[in-house]
Amino acid sequence: MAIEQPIVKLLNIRKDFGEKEVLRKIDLQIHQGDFIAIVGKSGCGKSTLLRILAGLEAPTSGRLLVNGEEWRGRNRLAKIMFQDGRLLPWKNVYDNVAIGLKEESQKQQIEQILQQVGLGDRLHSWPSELSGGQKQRVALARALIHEPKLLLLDEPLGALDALTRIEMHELIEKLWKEKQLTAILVTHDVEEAVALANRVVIIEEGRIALEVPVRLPYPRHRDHPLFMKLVNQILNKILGNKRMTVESNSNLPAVESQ
Amino acid sequence: MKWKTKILPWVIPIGLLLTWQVSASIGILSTRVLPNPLDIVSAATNLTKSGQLPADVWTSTKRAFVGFLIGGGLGFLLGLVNGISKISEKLLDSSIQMIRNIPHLALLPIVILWFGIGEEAKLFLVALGTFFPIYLNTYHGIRSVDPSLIEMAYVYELKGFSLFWHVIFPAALPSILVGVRFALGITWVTLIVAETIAADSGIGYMAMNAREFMQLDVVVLSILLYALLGKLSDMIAKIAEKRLIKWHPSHQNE
Ligand SMILES: Nc1ncnc2c1ncn2[C@@H]1O[C@H](COP(=O)(O)OP(=O)(O)OP(=O)(O)O)[C@@H](O)[C@H]1O
Ligand SMILES: [Mg+2]
Repeated sequence: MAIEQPIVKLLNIRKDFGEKEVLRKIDLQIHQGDFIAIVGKSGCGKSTLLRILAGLEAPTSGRLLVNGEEWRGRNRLAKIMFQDGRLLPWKNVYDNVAIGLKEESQKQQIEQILQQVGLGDRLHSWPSELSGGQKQRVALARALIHEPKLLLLDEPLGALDALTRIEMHELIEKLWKEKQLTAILVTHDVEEAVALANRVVIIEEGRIALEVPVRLPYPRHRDHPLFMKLVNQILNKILGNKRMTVESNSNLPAVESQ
Repeated sequence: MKWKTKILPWVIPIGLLLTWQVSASIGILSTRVLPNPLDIVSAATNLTKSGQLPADVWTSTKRAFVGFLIGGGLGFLLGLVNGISKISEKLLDSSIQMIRNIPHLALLPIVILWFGIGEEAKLFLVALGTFFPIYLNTYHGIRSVDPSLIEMAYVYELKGFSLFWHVIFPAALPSILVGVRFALGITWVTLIVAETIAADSGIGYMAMNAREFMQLDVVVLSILLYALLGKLSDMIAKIAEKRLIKWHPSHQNE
């Protein structure tokens, strides 16, 4: 994999909003088949980084290379699932997922993917009739059905309960493997990051503070000793050393609170 | 329980009607002030038999419809163009906003000078009156489409007409429909004024004619007809709204 050229490369990316420095220096290489999880505190610039990767936001300085070439404007390899879902209120669940689908063969999969996210019986509901978690799953289905080369997920499961979350993890993992996608997942949930990603990237003060490779085999079991060790290691990094005393205690809550 | 809630809103109108009829027949209410309800009904039947009433109602409805279509159509198109194109907006919007400040009914004298009392005068005024609410609401509706939805559409590769049809237009529709209902109200007010002052047919003309011959029942009938037509067009607009924006939370669980 290392010999292959990365499909997307960020070089020395910096992003300011007015006076505010959000990203200072981000270098990241994304290879075909990668599953990268981005974690960090709220407001540290995770969504901004994803938007830069999708080509929705131009970096203040630095370079974005797609397949080795400098890129401006929308990144055509990428489909992003927005943090706030962004369903069209005037389209039912089915039609929301159908947005922008051009091929008949893809349209035939709409029902199937909605079943997979557990909404097979809600095809004709309006978004305003759905719960927050259901809306998120529609948005997730909409991003997944395009089978993009680069799948960008911005906290796709934030509003879900622990159980549905694990189901969605299985679904994402399955599709990622089957369709050989490259995925980047922003999450607040460190366990989620370790469960899915082959690399966890921690952002702190506008920089990548740590990149942790996760070499556990899929599907990953949370009771694996290495799993909890990695989760703790990452949490400690994010929280500074405040949690040192908890490190030995592996009875962490199943879902990391925000 | 259910029939009670259905009947309750009708109690006061029916009570009033009865009081009116009774006080007119026992002479408390002079028929010079208000004709009694039964007289109005018989005036309506007579005029319907003679064919005058259907003809006048048809004339007025046609004027309302055609004037609304011209004014509303133009307002919609310009609102659309100015909502979408910055250049056209810069060129046209401030001029339109300036003209908007002239109350269209104040133009009545000059409109009579231009067109006489023919059809054009009425159509012109109705079109002018309906243009602005529909223009403004269309323009505003398109301008206030949630940019995050446009961005989403951009990611999912909607462009040109499909972007307009799937995202911009439905987003602006509730606002446009508010303009339509507003414009319908203006349509009838404009017609009432224009037909009463300058017309040789239509409901307003019928009323003014009857006034000269002291036919109070016909005058009141005309007023009721206007009220009825106004209510009717509002109901149609409401039904259209319910169907067109049935996704809107305010139209669910009804
Ligand atoms: N369009 C914008 N204009 C100005 N400031 C912005 C804009 N977008 C983001 N910011 C600022 O950039 C910072 C990073 O925002 P971003 O949305 O990337 O954070 P995040 O890491 O995704 O946070 P969260 O985990 O809460 O979603 C925040 O301080 C935010 O206020
Ligand atoms: Mg975010």
